[in-house]
Amino acid sequence: MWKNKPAIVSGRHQNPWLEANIPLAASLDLDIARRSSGGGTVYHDEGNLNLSFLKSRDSYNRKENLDLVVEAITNRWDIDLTVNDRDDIMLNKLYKVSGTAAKLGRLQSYHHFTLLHCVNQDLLQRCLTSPMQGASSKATKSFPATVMNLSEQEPDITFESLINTIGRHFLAEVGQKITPDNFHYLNPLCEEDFPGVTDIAYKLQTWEWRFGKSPDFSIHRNFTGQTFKSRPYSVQVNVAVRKGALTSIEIGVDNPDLELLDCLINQFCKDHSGFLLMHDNVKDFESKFLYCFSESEDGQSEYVTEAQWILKCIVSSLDFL
Amino acid sequence: MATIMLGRALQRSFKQINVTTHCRTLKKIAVLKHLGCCYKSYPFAQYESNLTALVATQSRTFQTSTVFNKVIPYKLSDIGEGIREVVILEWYVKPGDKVAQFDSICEVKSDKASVTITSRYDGTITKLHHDADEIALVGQPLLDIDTEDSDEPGKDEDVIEPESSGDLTNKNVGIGGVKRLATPAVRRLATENNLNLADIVGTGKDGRVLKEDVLRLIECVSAPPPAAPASQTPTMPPSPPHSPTPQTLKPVVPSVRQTPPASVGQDRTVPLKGVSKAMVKAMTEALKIPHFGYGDEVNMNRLVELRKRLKVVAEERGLKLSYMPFFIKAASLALAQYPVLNSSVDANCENLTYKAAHNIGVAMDTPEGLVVPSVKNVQSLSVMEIAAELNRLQSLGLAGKLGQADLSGVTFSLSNIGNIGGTYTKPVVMPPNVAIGGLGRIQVVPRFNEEGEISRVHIMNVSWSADHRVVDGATMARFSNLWKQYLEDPLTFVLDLK
Repeated sequence: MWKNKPAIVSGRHQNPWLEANIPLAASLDLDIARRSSGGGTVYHDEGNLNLSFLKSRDSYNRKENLDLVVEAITNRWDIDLTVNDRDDIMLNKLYKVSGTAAKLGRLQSYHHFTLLHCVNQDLLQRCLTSPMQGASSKATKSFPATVMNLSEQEPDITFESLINTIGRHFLAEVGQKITPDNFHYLNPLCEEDFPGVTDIAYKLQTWEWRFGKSPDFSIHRNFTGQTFKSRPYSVQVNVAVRKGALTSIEIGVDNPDLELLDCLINQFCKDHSGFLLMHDNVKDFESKFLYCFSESEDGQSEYVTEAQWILKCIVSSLDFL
Repeated sequence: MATIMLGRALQRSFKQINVTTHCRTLKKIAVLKHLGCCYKSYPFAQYESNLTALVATQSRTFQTSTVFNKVIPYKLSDIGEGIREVVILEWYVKPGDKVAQFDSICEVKSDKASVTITSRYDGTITKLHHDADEIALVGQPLLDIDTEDSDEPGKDEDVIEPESSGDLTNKNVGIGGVKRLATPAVRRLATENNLNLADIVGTGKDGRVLKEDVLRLIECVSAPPPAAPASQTPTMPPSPPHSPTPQTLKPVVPSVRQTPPASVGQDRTVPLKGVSKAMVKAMTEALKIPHFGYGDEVNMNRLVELRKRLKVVAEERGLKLSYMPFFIKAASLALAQYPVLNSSVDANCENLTYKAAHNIGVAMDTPEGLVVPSVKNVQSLSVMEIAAELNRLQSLGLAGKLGQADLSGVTFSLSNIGNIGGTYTKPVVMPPNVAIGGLGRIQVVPRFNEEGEISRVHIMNVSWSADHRVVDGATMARFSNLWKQYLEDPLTFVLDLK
């Protein structure tokens, strides 16, 4: 059982940009993580209890674990907790207080789930609302739900009282009493106790894992409102992302007078795409673009404004970073 | 008619035989010969179909068309939970890659679970049937694999079968394929001592290997390291036989013969067991408690006098009377006024139990180490009765024969380290108790008396430690003052004795 400082955790096969408000998280200095198990994106802070049931592959049974925890809690406190068919724990059959995910290996498995007892709900809502528009991908989509904190129903429920109650019940189920041998704190990052954990921790912190593992996706946006030579036009932006890298940016301008600019910009994009989808790289792209399409270029000064507008469209399509 | 032995023996040996459905030669028939089968007279077709039938009953997914060097479609096996299809997340291999049994092949996803699929065979990947992000159906081929000719038994076993012996290279798997249960700390201990968990008999529940089990094995295995003298003979450079090497102007260095290290002690590693081991455990627990200390001096003059006189009386009754019975009784009297110091706190410090009985523990140094037996119900005992009980515990302690009843149930402890020496100490509270007192040596020191003259005073220092979560400084101070008063003016005992 564990808790961690505020973080947004996405599932193995998800797109964090699509599931969460990454710019907000960055501004609030929240960690953005990806776990190895499936499921949706969640917001953790210290008001959330994480439970990980590590068992052999043969003993994998999600219902069993969820029922055990629900029983432990309802034995002690008088609240209405049930497990629904999505393996969520529901409070009063209306509010979600827990989400589940699992990972199966050859011989081992784990099933983990959250338990919201005192989480910052406002931050949760804001973090899990992505500003991304126009994206299409095969990534797993999260299932948004209305949540509630257990402590709102029963103020006595805290991290300490939960681990005590659940731990005791768990041990009782296997016929044990609590002793320092079977109920203790451990340091999961201790290399001596868990050889190989340092490498795993390192890998989990890399950008490649957290963002680069997102399934391929594309963005399609349409921008209107600009005129050229008193003729309104729209700009289409198509971005393709593979393994976290922007493999192509294509723009389409539906104004025949801007055809040359269209070609030039597309050529520029072809030459300068292929970078990892990070803020700094986009800024880099921007400055290169501005340098290329600047006023000092003779004979093209009338197009500069349009070029800059198109650049704005491109950057705007990537504003979810 | 030949007989074919049914059962696992045949299944195992069958796998050494490569049966081809096209080519009717049976290789390695010699194996059947060993089982006492007469194969020659057995009609071929019947033999083959019998084997097929036999194999079909033994192993669900064993394919009788398994032939060496054939490309096999590797099917997606049942993941469980009634799941019929999954999404391929990521391939870890591509066509042309060589894989070994149990290597990871791909990652798939089924609603909430992310599953790692591992290879059933050794071989080379020839074709992937799906791209990433595509849906794969259970029971349909995931990829094609070209298996190599392998004559190792057990290689073709389906990993999903519950009888399979699993990872034979996993050193935690014991005989019969049972995975040894053990906590990470125990595993580490075993690894550090080059022990295979599989070799250790677990005495815990479900055969769980406990630390004691590992330590016991270490004892048996370790022998005192022999004092091997490291004598080094000088190495002669090999002279080439043919041409005489030119004489180099190297000074002749006399060969240094290293003599064995004389009179240097050998390191000795002893596993902690018995009392020492229990102490490690107890002290680790104890130091989780936030301690605070409170010290004071006790003027023992009157008590020293009193004891001198009473000692004689006690000896007449056949008892040794030390100061301890007085300390213990005074403590009990003071505890009656400050019962929180005789309480017990539970593991998470949520409940405080005020204990009715004053079972005062007396720390004893025995040949085995530190033990703390207790004198039970001191509130109902007289000083003499306490002395008698102490005598009994002391003799048992010296003999190493203290029983569970004597060692358990302590509610408050006193440690007379002064017996051995020292003045101030910082005793460690023993959970679930909340207080403990350490008594220093009685020293004779000069002090000013009421008249302002220097006089000889017997001073003993007491150092109390208490659990600051439930005891505050004022309580400890008042308790100490009361205890001190009883000892500095022993007649006050008389007032409160029941």
